[in-house]
Amino acid sequence: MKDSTLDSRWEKVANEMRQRSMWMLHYCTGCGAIELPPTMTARWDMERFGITPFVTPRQADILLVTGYVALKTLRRIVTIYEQMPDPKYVVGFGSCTINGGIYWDSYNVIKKLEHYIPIDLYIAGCMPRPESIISGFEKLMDIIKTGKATGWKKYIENNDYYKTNQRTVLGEK
Amino acid sequence: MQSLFEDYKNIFKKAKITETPAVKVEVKLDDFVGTVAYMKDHGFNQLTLYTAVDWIKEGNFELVAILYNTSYLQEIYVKTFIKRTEPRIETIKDLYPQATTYEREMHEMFGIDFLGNENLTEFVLENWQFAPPLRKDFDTRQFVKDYYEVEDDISEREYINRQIKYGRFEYNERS
Amino acid sequence: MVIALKITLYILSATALGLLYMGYARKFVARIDRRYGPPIYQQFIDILKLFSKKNLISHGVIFDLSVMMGLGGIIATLLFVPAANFYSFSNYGDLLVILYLLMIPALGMALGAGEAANPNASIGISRALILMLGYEIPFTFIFMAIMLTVKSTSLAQMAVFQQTHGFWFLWKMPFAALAMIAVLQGQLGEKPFDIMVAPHEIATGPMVEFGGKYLGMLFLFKAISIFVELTIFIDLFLGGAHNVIDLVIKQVILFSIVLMINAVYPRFRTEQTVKFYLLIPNTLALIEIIRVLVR
Repeated sequence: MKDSTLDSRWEKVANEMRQRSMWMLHYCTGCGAIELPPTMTARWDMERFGITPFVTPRQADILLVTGYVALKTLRRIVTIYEQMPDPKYVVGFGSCTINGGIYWDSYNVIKKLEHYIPIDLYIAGCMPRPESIISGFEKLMDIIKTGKATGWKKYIENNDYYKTNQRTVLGEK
Repeated sequence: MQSLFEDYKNIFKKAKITETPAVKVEVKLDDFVGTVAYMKDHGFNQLTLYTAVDWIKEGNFELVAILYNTSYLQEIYVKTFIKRTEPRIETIKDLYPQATTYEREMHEMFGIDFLGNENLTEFVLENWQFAPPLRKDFDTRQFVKDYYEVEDDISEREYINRQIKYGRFEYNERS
Repeated sequence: MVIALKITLYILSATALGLLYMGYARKFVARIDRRYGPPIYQQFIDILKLFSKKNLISHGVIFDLSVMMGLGGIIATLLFVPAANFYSFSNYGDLLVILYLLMIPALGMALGAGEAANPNASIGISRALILMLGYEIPFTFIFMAIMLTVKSTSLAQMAVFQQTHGFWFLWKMPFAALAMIAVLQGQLGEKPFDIMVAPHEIATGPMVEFGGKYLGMLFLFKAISIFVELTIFIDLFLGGAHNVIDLVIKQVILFSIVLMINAVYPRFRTEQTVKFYLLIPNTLALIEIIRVLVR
């Protein structure tokens, strides 16, 4: 059997495993994180899908960007995103990551997060309720299983584009 | 409380009392620190707020300090005006130690210089190379258009349609 | 040849049972919280996902070897513990050897944490070693009491003694059994003594820089250590086990008692832990030794 067919068969099995045990990073970047504790506790239980919070980026798979991203926060998010091991997924929470939300004309908030790190899924709302969050996670499990969540590959291939955008907006970091 | 108010009226012969019954006192620039020190000696032991307002048509900043008396539950506003072209005043950090943080924020957002406060470092904005943003001649809409919009502009409706086509959008019809 | 095959089967089934117990723990604690939990086979999926990570972020050779030291130490301890009348190496070593070998994984983690250069890891591993200092003293007193009764230091002899005489040490020496449950909570790292893995205070302590395949091996280490420590308690106090089904039933009941204490209590600080261990389990074990000497 050639190496590439063995690799692709193992990828199918690995994607089935990855969709059922996603570990999210417990780093609440903005005001949208107030809807995470009800999702984690007894009423809308998130742990039956295998999703638990972990506290260090070396051990986590999903980075949830909840809410608006100021320039100070963007520097730390980029550092954390580069510390996580591959494969990793980013979920944009709320409308401030889509086009700026209610901070659309503020001098300190970035408007479209997609120019700076690659995003796999958006969940709309201000804030999304726990039912929306769980339905969003189900859609994320779908696109992981079919192999379409390739944000981490895009970051490696188009590294120049993302790095140029980051350096311009952060003022030559 | 009315008798205390009469006491202060005798002291503020040179100052202007702008509003009653909420006591707002307007003093000259040289008397500002002296008035705040006098207030502190007479029982106003809490500094509630210390901020600035930008009056662009008259061409000056208005500095407001709100002082509070915790034994008589009485509040007083002390105001003064600074020119916009040379914004400089002494610090009041020897009277109220928490004024260092208020002055740090005012230095970053308005550009006012406080003589004697050596803690005027950057506070909220990191690596900021432009004009102080809370002044009224800073055009935020133009700044956002120049600084943040990277690609050639497509409209918002078309941007969201593109995301839906890529299958990356999750929304609930009812909520 | 046949013995090598049997020992390999023993190690693999100990790992599988340990992973099932970890899944059972998550489900049990979830049901106490009045919610559904993950399925029982969840830990197998977690380990397969961890071994399929593509990056390996390493901080040097000693960092890689420290995980090996942890996993190798606990497998060596597993081979000296008799379980369900299957003696792999326990003719060659007794309880003192097990006591010595149980300390090697913690020292391995200390090397790895020192190499990682993260202050969370250093604080976590110093707390873990202080916790170990706390529970080793009552542990020594307890099996000194049992050694004086059985007049031998071999763990297999203690199990056979209970089976031939027809009683269990659980009701012949009740003070020692109570003290041993406190020691078991500390060894397994369950609340109220889980100061070494305090996830929201020090970001999981010594495991803060391990990710990907290293974390998979640390999960295997935790699974085997659950099996080893439960089996030591069963051999000392519950009369050993006759066959595999007997062993599994006793382990599940004992683990449920440990989990019920875990689900209800908050976490002790380091100085409160050491004070508790020096006062109460020590006193109970010393009462037991005096009872044995007087009789």
